[in-house]
Amino acid sequence: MKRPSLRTIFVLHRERLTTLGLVTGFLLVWEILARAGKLSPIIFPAPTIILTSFVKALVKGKFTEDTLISTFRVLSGFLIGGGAGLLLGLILGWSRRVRRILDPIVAALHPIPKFALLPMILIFFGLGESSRTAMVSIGAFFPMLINTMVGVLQINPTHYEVVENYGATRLDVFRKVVLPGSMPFVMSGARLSLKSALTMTIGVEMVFGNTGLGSVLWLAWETMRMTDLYSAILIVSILGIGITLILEWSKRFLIPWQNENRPN
Amino acid sequence: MTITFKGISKNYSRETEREVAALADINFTIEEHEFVSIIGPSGCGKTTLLKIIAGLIKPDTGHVKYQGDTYPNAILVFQDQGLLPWLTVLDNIGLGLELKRMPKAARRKQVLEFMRRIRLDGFEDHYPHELSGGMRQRVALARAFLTNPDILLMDEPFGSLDAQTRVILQEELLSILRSEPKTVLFVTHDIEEAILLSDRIIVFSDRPGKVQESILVSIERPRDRTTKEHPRFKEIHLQIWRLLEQEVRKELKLL
Repeated sequence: MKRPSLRTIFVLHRERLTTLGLVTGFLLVWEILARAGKLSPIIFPAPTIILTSFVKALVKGKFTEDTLISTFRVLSGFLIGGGAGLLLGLILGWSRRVRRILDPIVAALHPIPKFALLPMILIFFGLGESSRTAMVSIGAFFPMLINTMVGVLQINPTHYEVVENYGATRLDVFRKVVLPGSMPFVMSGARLSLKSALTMTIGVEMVFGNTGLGSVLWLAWETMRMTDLYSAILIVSILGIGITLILEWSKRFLIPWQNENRPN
Repeated sequence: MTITFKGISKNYSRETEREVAALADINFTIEEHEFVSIIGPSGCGKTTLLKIIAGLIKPDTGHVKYQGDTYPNAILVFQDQGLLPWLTVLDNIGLGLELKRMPKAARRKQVLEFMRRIRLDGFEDHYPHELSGGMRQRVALARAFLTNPDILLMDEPFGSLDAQTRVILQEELLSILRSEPKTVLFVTHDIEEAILLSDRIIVFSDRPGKVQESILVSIERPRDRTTKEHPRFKEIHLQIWRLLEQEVRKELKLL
């Protein structure tokens, strides 16, 4: 095959190159304005300065412990809240009766901004780690619950009939239809659930202080250390992107039958 | 063994989420290895009848009799969507055996053997969405045949295929049935398909569905697409057309 010319590459990736150009342009203008003294060096240090201090912090391991703590909180909240959401979502999707009983309650609780529950949770669980875990779990619970339930409900009725026709037991129906049939929705539920867990973790840490990336962010703002602030934002973003990438990657094994996930 | 359908009726039901078409007092029998087609206007309860025989819907009255009082093992081939999208072709064909608790190694061997026989080999690891509609129906047929049911129920299995693919698959079905005789109850609204495949055709009337006429297809086998030139074929075609035309005109208020 002939090697594509530079011109072809440009035409093929026109949109991507434009995106890259926009971002680079923005950072370049920022850099120039900051270097020229047109921007407050305290609030908007030049991107290169932010990057240098970010790399320095990484090398020194300045935020390592807080990053690990926050990651642990996100994951444990996801396991508890997301796990409960998955279980209840499967039951709600599968059993018409349970759905009829519980759906109104879910519908009533779902729109509550979960962060508003913090004072109440503090009363129940006190100022320790359990309050943080509870908040993150609540945040992770609902997206998983709703998506899983919808995932079960959208399964084609014919698929149930097929396995019933071959004499499937209740467990067979669950194994062969309910679980795999809802899996694509469960995966998008997991994504939203993890996102919500991350948001909740940072928020709770901002309020609690002491430990975690949220507390680093808040302290940086209180002491006006903008490079720390930007570094922490960068780490949180990387955490969010990392979670998404891991989930996308796991789709190859969990839903290999979907077109775009076919492993080669 | 003869399978008898006795006094089966079903009214519209609101208790299930699935819509059920009405049936009124259905009575007929199918002999062993007989191929019977049901033809009739859409919405006359043909699918409902198949689902009742398959044990997926309970009839209001009536029952299916086979070897005394037991229900026959009846396997339904759906028009489409009958394959599970998350299972490979191998696992889809093996699904019936798997649910019968056949061990994995034996199942795999039997599935692969059958796939070779009907020339589906090479597609074991494909997912349904990677196959054409016609291939998907071949896989669905393979799965149904492999569990060796007492009666094979087919709900317009070639109904969503293009005309050419349909003809080829009809011939394919005839050829499989020659080497692997089965009792078949076949639902279609394609008159030519019904005549080509069947020993007998039952014409249903519009709602509530009931047996209007039973027509013997006395055309010798083996048959293929050239059977359509047979003078008897044309006679039966005309006869069924006349019966159906009335029902359709009634439904369209064109009488």
